[in-house]
Formats: sequence, structure tokens, C-alpha cells
Amino acid sequence: MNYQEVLKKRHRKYIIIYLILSILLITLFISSISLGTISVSFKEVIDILLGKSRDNVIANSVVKDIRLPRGLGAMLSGAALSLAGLLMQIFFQNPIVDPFVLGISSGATLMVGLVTLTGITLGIANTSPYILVIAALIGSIGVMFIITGIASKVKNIITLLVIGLMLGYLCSAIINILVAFAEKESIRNFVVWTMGSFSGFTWDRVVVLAIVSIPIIVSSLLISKPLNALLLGEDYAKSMGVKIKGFRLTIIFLSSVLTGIVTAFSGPVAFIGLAVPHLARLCFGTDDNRVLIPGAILLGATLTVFCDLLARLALSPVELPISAVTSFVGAPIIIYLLMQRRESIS
Amino acid sequence: MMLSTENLTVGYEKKVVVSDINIQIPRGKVLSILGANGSGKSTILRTLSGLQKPVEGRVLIQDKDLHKIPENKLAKQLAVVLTNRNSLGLLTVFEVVSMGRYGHTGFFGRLSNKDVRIVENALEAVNGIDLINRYVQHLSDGEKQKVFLARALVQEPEIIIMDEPTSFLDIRHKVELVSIIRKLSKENGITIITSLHEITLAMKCSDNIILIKDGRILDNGKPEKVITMDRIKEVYDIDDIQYKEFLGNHKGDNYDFLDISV
Repeated sequence: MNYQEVLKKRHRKYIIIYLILSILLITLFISSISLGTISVSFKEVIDILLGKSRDNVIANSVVKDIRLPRGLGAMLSGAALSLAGLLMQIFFQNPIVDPFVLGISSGATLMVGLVTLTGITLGIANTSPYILVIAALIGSIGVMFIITGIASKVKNIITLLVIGLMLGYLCSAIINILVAFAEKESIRNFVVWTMGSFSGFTWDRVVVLAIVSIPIIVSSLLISKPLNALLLGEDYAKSMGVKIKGFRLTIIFLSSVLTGIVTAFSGPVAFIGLAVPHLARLCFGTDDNRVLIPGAILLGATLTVFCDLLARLALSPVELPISAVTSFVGAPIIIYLLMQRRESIS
Repeated sequence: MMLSTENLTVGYEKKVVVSDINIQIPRGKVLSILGANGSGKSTILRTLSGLQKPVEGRVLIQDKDLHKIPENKLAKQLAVVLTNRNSLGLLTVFEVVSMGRYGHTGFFGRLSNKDVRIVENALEAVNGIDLINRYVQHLSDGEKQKVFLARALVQEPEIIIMDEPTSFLDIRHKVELVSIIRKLSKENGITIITSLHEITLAMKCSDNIILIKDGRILDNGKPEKVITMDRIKEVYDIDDIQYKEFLGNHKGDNYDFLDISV
């Protein structure tokens, strides 16, 4: 039997799935710009994006200043969260891990809470658009390093997960105390932030998100080979030539920055980081990270744009919290796909 | 010598598990380590394979200190087959075995035609070519063991270290694995170091056997010299009464008692 033929056939299948996902993403992206309280036709959206239609000032403003940055923000956030989730699942060799389980988002939430509830500004002007980003980054990286420090001493994954959960509870406890003493207006702002939304995406923020996340998303493709080796376990990876210590730090750095940056702009967006890697595994039928990483990025972007669209339109003019929509849409899909398959994804 | 040790003491941080290990293994020979559960067999193998540092002493591969050899170079000299298995989700046999080409492929791990052939040849060598398209999670323990041995083979190493490769296998797979080990050492010149629980199998496949007891090497030499009834009783703490209760008054040649293990 010539296995080259089998490989070629498999690669063709992957390319077809990538194409379908890309078409779906583009369609949903244009829909998300087109649909809303003010409806702009598909053709007009494309004309506005290409700079051909400048007459309709309102449509131009809605498309260019509000919906386009929001759509791009949702797309990048979805890609980033899915990738962070996938990296975490490989790192901890556990399929039920996402950044939320380990308290990383709780760290980000705590720091954002400190800023919004107490007015502590870490020496940065309160009006700076970057203050929440920096606060969330400090929170997520801080928790991530605590987890990794403990991880080097505790080999047992369940122990690590419990420690992660405990860190999450600790952060929540501090937040609850802050809430008890905070002013009503600050609490409202903070609670709105914790419900998650992509409505805050302005061009400024999209640019920051893009500058931070795109290089990480691209560089994650470059580490797919050692990530594959890690699937067999750290001992096997080491025996094949992976420099484990440095590689651990690389994964932690990449995933915590991705989680931190998205959480800073959109609040804690649930479900995407946990579920999209599984959805990608089920779609592509493999755990090969060279296939899965681009797959999870595309699928994460597509699903998140779809969920954001739904959050805006489902009970319009009221906008639903994004985390509610992602869980509502994603959970049944996962359950259905798992029931359909004979193979276990873990 | 392909692999040797100099006054090696193995353990975890400061805790010594086995000390004063001085062994020499020539190219293409099979060395088996026997000892009771918890005697330190796995710790020795992990240290010999570079997965953990020695407490004292050195491990040498062709007279070079193993811990001074860069990881990627070491991977082309030495491969491992371990007992701990990750859940391999949706990885096929081909994908798992081809991971052994890690040190031989480029940045993205793209396999050349030659790499694919090496993977196929390795699976043929372990009688596992029929498994190539299957998910590893669907295989039996015996089949999985063949896959992991094939993964080690595609690293094209000179030494393979195997930790309890016959555990959980039925008799057919145990015998098959031992004959593969024998073939790899004789025909391919690969040096194999392994730990085993089955004394008969160790005798069949090994050129040398090491007995471990109470944190030291009790005996080291050719199977027929090392394996005696008294030695085995000593290594596994079996007394005469236990023996008779299990075997009755069975009498035969010197090695009849060994059948209890297979």
C-alpha cells in the first residue's frame, strides 16, 4: 500500500474544510456588517468597503465606524480565544481545560475590577484606552505564572486544576469585597464588562488587538511541530529533542497574552476557548496540530462572528451578553457531534 | 561500548534509589533489568535515557557524557518506549509513528517520501503495517506497544530503552514483542535496554541481565549465570513455603519454577 496517496487524499479533505470555513466566515462577516437596526444591503456594504459608495453618510458611518471594527474585533477575539484554549489543552494534556478553568481570566477580571471599582490606575491616566488592556494582561500573566510555578512542582493534572479553580475563587472573593465597597456606577460598569461584549471595539482597540494577537496567531503555526510531540507527553517530547523548559514558557506566554488581550477588550467570553478546539478536532478528525491550529483559528473566528451577530439581532434592540450566546449555540453542537462519533476526543 | 555507566547513582533530587551502577553494554546487545516492584528499574531506565539527571556518576554513550549531548543529537542516538501513555485522541498510527521523525524533519515537520517509507518500514518491522490508518485509541495494548516501538525505530537510534514493554500484554503479544526485540538487536544492531517482570522472557531475549535488590545491583551477567532459583527467591523475597504452596512438590530441571511468570 502506498501511504503517500492516503496522505494526499487527507490533505485534500483538510483543504476543502478550510475553504468551506473561509467562505462561511466571509459570509457571516459581511452579514454582521450588513444586518442590524439599520439594515445595509450586502451590495452596499461591499461598495462602502471598497470606497465606491460615499453618498449615504449614515450607512457609511454605521459600516465603517461601528460594525466593521466590531466585526473585526469579534473575529480576532474568537481566533485568539480558540487558539489559547487549544494551547492550554495541549499544555495540560487535558481536554477540559480552558483559560477560565485555571483562573487566568479571573486574574484579568480581578485587575480590571481593581481599576474600574477602586480607581487604582497603576500610574496610567484613567482615560487611556490601554489601561484595561494593561490591567487585564497583568492579571492574566500573573495567574498564569503562579499556575506554572506550581505546575513545575505538582505533576498531577487534577491537583493543578484544583489549584487553578482555587485561584479563581480567591480572585472572585477579592472582587466581591471590592464590589461591596464600590460606588453604584462603577459596579454597573464592571458588571457590564464581566458579561462580555464586543460592542466596545473601536478602531483604536482593534488595532491594539491586531498588533498583539496576529503575531502570536502566526507564531503559533510555527510551533505546531513541537506541540505535536507534546501530545505524546513531556517525556516523549524531551526524548525526541524538544527543549521542554523553554517550550513550556513559550506556550504559557502565548496563551496568556491572547487570553489577557481579549478579556481586556471584550470581558470574559465563555465557551469559545474550551469548545472550539473540540469542534475543530471533530471537523477535521485529527489531533495533528499542523491541521488543528489553523482549523481552530478559522472555526473560532467564524463561530464568534456568528454568535456576536446573534447577540445583536436575537432580541434586538436589547443586546445579549456574548458569553450567554456562545454557550447557547456551542454546547448543543458539541453534544450532537460527540454523540454522532465513535471516536473519543480525549 | 555503546552505553556505559560510571559509579552511577539514580534517584530523585537527593533521594537515592539505586547506587553504584557500573554497567557496560556493547552494540547490538540486549540488557534486561529484573527486580521487584519499586526496586528502581524505571528510575534507572529514565536516568540512562536522559529523562532525569543522575544523583551521582555519569551515563556515557560511546564514551560521551549523555547529559552533555544536545537534545536533538541525542534523539538520533537514543529512543524510548515508556509505560506512561497519554490519551491520544484522534491521532492515527501513522501520525504517532511519524512523530519519531521529529529530529529528521524540517521546521514544520513536513514528511518527505523517504520519511514516509521509513515509517512504513518501521511498522513492517514490528508486524504493524496493517494498523497504519487506525486511530491509536482503538488499538489493543499489544498493538499500541508495537506502535510505540515503531515510533522509537523511526528515530533511527542506536539504542532503544524500553520500560516494562510486556506489561498488560497477552502471551501471544509478549512472545511476539520479545522476538521483535531479538531481531532488532541481531539484524539491525540496535542496543536494547529493558525492564521486564517475566523471568523466562528475559532469559530468552537478553544477552545480559541485571538483578536489582535493596538499592543496589545484586548480580550482573549472562542469563544462565545470573538466573538461579536462590537468586530469584532473593530478588523477589519469595520464601520456600510460598513456593511450595504455589507449585506443590513439582520437580523438574533448574528453571521449571520460572514458568510461573508467563
